[in-house]
Amino acid sequence: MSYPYLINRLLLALPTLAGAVTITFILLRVVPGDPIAMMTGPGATEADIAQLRAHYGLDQSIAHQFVIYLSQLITGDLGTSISLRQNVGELIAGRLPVTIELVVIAMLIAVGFALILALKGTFWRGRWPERLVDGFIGVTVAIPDFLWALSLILILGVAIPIMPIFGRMDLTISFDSWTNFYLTESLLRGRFEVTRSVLYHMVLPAVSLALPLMAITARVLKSCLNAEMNREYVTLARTQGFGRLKVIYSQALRNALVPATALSGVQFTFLIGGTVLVERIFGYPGIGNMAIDAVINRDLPLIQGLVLTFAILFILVNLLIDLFITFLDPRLRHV
Amino acid sequence: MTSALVVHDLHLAVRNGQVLLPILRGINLNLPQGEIHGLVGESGAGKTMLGRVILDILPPSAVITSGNVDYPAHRSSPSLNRKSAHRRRPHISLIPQDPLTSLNPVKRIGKQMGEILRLAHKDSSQQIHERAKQHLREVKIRNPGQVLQQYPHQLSGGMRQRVLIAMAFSTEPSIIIADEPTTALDVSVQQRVLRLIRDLQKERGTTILFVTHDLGVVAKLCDRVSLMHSGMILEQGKVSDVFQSPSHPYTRSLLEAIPRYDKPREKLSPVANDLQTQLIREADEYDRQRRV
Ligand SMILES: Nc1ncnc2c1ncn2[C@@H]1O[C@H](COP(=O)(O)OP(=O)(O)OP(=O)(O)O)[C@@H](O)[C@H]1O
Ligand SMILES: [Mg+2]
Repeated sequence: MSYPYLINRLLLALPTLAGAVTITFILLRVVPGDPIAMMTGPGATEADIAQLRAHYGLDQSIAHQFVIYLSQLITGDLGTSISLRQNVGELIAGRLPVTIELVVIAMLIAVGFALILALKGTFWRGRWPERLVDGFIGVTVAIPDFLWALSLILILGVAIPIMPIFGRMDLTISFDSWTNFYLTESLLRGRFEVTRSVLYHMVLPAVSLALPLMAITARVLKSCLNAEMNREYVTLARTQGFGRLKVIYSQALRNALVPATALSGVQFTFLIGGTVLVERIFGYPGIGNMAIDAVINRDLPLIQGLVLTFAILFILVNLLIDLFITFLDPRLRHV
Repeated sequence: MTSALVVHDLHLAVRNGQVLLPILRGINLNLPQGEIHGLVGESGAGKTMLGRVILDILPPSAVITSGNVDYPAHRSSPSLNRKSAHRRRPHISLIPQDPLTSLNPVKRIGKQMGEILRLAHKDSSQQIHERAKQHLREVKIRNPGQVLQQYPHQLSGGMRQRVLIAMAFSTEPSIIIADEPTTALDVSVQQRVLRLIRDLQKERGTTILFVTHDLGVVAKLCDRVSLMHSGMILEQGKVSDVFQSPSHPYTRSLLEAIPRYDKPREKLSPVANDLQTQLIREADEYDRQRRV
């Protein structure tokens, strides 16, 4: 792994970003819906509306608007939100940490349980516990994240109300965050009551996001492991005195992770998209939730900024997946 | 001399849905300690399956329907038993056919050898490293330190096979199953690898079951030989006897089938079709009689 490779990958991402920015810009201005009409009440006069229109530059042609937008974007200015009247960059920077912490925890849950399921399923190959694992994966994979969210709320929030189902943490705790990475920051600052509350509130949304991802990852990994178990180096390892479980996790696993990561990697990017509905359902104050408000209010600059953020996250996750595969397989490193 | 390995009337079948397909049909083997025993037979004869029974690594679908495998020399010397007490068999190593796919592609050679050595020795990493180096030197690898740092794909085929031989001998096995260990190598490397196996075997008195298609190799390397077809041993005996006066027509036709470089004009003579058919018919007949 070398820096030129990394720089290359990042440069290749630029056309993708440019495409995402251009397409959303045009789409947003072609579809019906008027941000000014949304923000002004029914009593607004024609003149008021025209003035606001001019204020936000919406009276110009689409091409002209685009040129203005791009020239601002290059200086790092994402414009001003129409509905919230704040700088879009600052708004997103405030909410992004919330989503990042949620997504990372969801990924850890998904990967952790997928590993356990795939390893156990392989260990019990051909016996009834394997069928149990397969059945569990089959059911879990068929239910999308927002349905998990609704079911979990009904079961653990309403029927047996033991879990919080709204917000990011207990509102009675006051925590003056500098970065908005509550989880990381509270741990570093030793404010463990905050950590507890944040984790507690995170359980249901993170699990909802994690379950479908876990199921698909476990299924892919298990089939890759099964293929790996028939390879000759595994047979040889069995003659060398390694125990059954040890052969699976110390010989076959790393090899199986290479195709499994390549195959299920795209699912990890879907997780970012999944935050939109799940954050909404749990009133979780991340960028997914913000995106829905932005769309309802036809807040063009904010939508535009959020799409750009989502695109960058997609690209970063893909890059991490590629780096991970290269780290796993030495044959990909020395080409 | 005590036998190292005795296979007694071994029958093995693989389950295919509801039916059991016979693979091995009454195999008998008796290998004295320190013997190199050749196992010859065409593809599908069941040589690898026999090796897997001895190594105790049968696929889940395979069932032993009768017979057994025994290690008499091992029973009388319980000191050999230390690592594999729970299996009640001596350590048996495998030298596999394909040196590329038999090494773990994502681990350095040093790591792979270290893991095996660690099972038997409670040494520090430094000592394990030295041991691994020593084992590589024994298989005539001149730069063991460097090889230990490398991944399998960075080594040549001959080098990989040497590493596998070093691994096989590193556990001080009393029996080695060598399943066509030179088939994937070119001729000159083949010769060196064969000599290496023979030298290590002489030095340690290891018993080897040597699976091969190459009767030339059998002639040079083995003490005795068994010829297999359709899971049955057709002929068994000292190499010199079998080669000079083969008693089974299949052995004769195999000996005739060896292409001779000094007679390029001679036409290739595969084993005759009617002989093949007859052998398969005999195997079917055997199955029918066992069932009644
Ligand atoms: N895992 C398995 N499941 C079911 N049948 C198998 C399995 N492995 C081998 N067989 C069958 O067992 C028979 C013997 O196969 P085996 O691999 O022992 O032959 P072989 O003599 O080693 O041949 P080769 O010279 O090609 O290596 C074949 O008919 C094969 O189809
Ligand atoms: Mg074979």
